[in-house]
Amino acid sequence: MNQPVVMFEEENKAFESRKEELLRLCEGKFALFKGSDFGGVYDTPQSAYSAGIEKYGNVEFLIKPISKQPVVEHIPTLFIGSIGAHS
Amino acid sequence: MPIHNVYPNKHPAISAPDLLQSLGLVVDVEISVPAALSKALQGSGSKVPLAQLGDALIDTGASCCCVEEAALHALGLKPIGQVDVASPNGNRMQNIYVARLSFPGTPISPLEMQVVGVQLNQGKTLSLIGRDVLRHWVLVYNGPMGCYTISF
Repeated sequence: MNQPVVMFEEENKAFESRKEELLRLCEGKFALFKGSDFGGVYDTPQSAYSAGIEKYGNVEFLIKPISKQPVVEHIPTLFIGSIGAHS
Repeated sequence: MPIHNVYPNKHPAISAPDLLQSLGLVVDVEISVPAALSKALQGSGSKVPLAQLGDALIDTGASCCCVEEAALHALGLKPIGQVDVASPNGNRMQNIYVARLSFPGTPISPLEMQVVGVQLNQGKTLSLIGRDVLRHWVLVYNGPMGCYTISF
């Protein structure tokens, strides 16, 4: 699987600068960022997406889960040769 | 709870249990742009991209849903984040998108959700349905009958 280019550096930096406050006030929700602009906190990624489309249009913006631990997904099918595994 | 029974397409030379074992839990899927984007495109007089059609494989091993990234690009969708995906050789970063998944010919309600963009390179297979969806379903694999049931 090809690695995508690392994106959202500015947005991640903006998130890190607010992370403690966001964790204290709204852990479990989703924060919206475009560049260094903070677009608010939403209950679901879908509602954050709708807000992002309305505020910024169909461009890249970051929807970040407000969580202490980074999310790691497990999709073994992609890596064991069952389906489309390639490097 | 609505119940949806799935019988793989009949094949004269292969028994239903063999066919189900070979194909796995496959349903037709339609991947399209989320309602918010569709509305924005219509509002600006732009054309809404046509849905991408293919197969979705129900994958109890996957923690989340994935969609072929080329199909997401064809819809004009932009990433809304990135996530680490665990692999035997360490974590790999993949883009995340919001997309709408619907299942034509079934009573399953369309889902608008986060999906991981992946490179499936597997012909008709457009999507893996992972445990983030299965947590809302009851899934019964009936091997001897060669069918499966989804209740949701």
